[in-house]
Amino acid sequence: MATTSPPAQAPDVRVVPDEQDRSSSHLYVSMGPQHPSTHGVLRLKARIDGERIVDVDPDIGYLHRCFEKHSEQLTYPQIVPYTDRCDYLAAINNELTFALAVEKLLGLEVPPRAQYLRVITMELQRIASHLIAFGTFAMDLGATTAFLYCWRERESIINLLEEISGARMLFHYVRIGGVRNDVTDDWLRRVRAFVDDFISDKLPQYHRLITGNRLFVRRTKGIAVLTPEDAIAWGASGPVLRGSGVARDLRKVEPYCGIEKYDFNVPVGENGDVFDRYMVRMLEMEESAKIIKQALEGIEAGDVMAPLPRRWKVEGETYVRTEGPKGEVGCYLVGDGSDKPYRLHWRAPSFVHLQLIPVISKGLLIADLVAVIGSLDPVFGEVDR
Amino acid sequence: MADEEKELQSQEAPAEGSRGEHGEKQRPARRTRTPKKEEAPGPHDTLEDLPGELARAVERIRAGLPGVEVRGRRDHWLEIRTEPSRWVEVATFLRDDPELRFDYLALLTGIDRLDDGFEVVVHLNALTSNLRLILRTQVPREEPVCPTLTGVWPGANWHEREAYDLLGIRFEGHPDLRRILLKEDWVGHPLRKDYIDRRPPRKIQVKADWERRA
Repeated sequence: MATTSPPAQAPDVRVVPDEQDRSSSHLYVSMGPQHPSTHGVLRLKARIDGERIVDVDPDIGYLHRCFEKHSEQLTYPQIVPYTDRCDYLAAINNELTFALAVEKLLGLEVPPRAQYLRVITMELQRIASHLIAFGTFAMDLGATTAFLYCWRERESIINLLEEISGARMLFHYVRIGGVRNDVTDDWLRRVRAFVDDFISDKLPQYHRLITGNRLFVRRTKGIAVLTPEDAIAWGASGPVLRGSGVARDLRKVEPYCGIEKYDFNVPVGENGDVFDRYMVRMLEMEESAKIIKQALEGIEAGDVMAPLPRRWKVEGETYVRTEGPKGEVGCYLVGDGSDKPYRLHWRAPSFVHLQLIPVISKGLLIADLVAVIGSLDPVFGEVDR
Repeated sequence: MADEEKELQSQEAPAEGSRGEHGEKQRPARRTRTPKKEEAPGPHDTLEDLPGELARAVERIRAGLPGVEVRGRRDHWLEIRTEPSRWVEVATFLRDDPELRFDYLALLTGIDRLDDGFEVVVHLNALTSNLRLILRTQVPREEPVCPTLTGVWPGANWHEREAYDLLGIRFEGHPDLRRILLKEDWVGHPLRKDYIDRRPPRKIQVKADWERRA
């Protein structure tokens, strides 16, 4: 071994001379990490001139637990619940990404019924995640009512998922090789009833409540415009990329779980402002509901779990990505032939999106910073990992 | 291969209704066995006959970047391995070439390869043609320095900061190379394989309810 980490020692503390230029009218404001509108523990170090933002420096890492190092000590099935904790508002998508990566290295075939169940739960989870994004976003802008309505619908989804997995937030339902257990026909009927009600009644309610609201539109239209060139160069994905008018959806580009058989559209925005990112999420919920309906019609009887190898020998490397509610969720997995990964890297979309805050929020009012964070929809479980 | 086939044939299931030594019913021999590597190639293995689009891209890269290793993988990712000294040149070519246009950086990360140093791995995407490419290089362990890609793809900024923070790879020319996830005075880089946590153990004692004194 060539190097070892140096022994722990007291860090040398230096007194930094105060070199602030007091002749300018710039003021340093620290927003967070306990601010309710930062959706977690984000601290923004903002330099402001009056009400205008000159520069922002996001400070992250408050929830860091080095999940990637942990997973080097765990066997593959043991890692699945850890991935839940990354994007804890969309646990199923994380499990799915990891399961797909391991299945690819093992060469496992997942039975068709499990594929359908994965699609149904994945899209239910997407609706639940977008509901939170929408509700908290509206609440940040001062509309508390929408938040309560969103919680009502999310509760129905969580009750449905609790019934099949036993958990209300970190489901651990998608396993390597399939899903945890089968569902009853009655459960499928209730999913159908929920989706029908959601499309015909609940979603129009939200639009009546928020989308046409003059105050809301004034706060969001033309704010924090992200050009398509910038979005691509900075590696944005998901609703943030599509809000800027780039129609890229990994479900279309790199289909998984048989999603290529389904008929759905990819909504895109025009201007790339806060309103477009919001609108893309609202339209995506409709498309998710469409996918669930098709899956409920096509679902067939059968096993939900593929036979797993008795001894796990995972060899080689792969990068598997799925379209999570926040964007491209990627799992870069390097196996060395044992039952534990040699290296696991988690590509978290929120981590990449937070880089954009300094890019798009220059010159905005400080109140708009709240709208910018809400429109990027970061989740700090996956930013800090 | 030939021996294995013989072995397989000898393991054929016994005839229907045959009895063993003590008259018990014989179970058919298990025919599944762990496939050898050459029989079941993984997604990372090289694919010789690439589909047309990928083959054209490989030709294009070979013509534009002489002396660079290119291969197509079975999961339809192209893979390039290069020296750290040519890192930025290769990246700029991949982004600017009108036929390739790898404009989207999905992921930049590092792997600790112990005595072989650190590997820097970049996953790229061309949004128009949906070509996918892995770009990798190796930096020595004693001097883990790699040129930065922030000038080519600005989105590499935080990925490189994370690799610096957790693996200790220094990216030369990075505009703002600070720790990102750990606090600024942290000692060591946790994702290295030889990292030892030298902090004193925490003095937290967990006791069950019945063990606690009232």
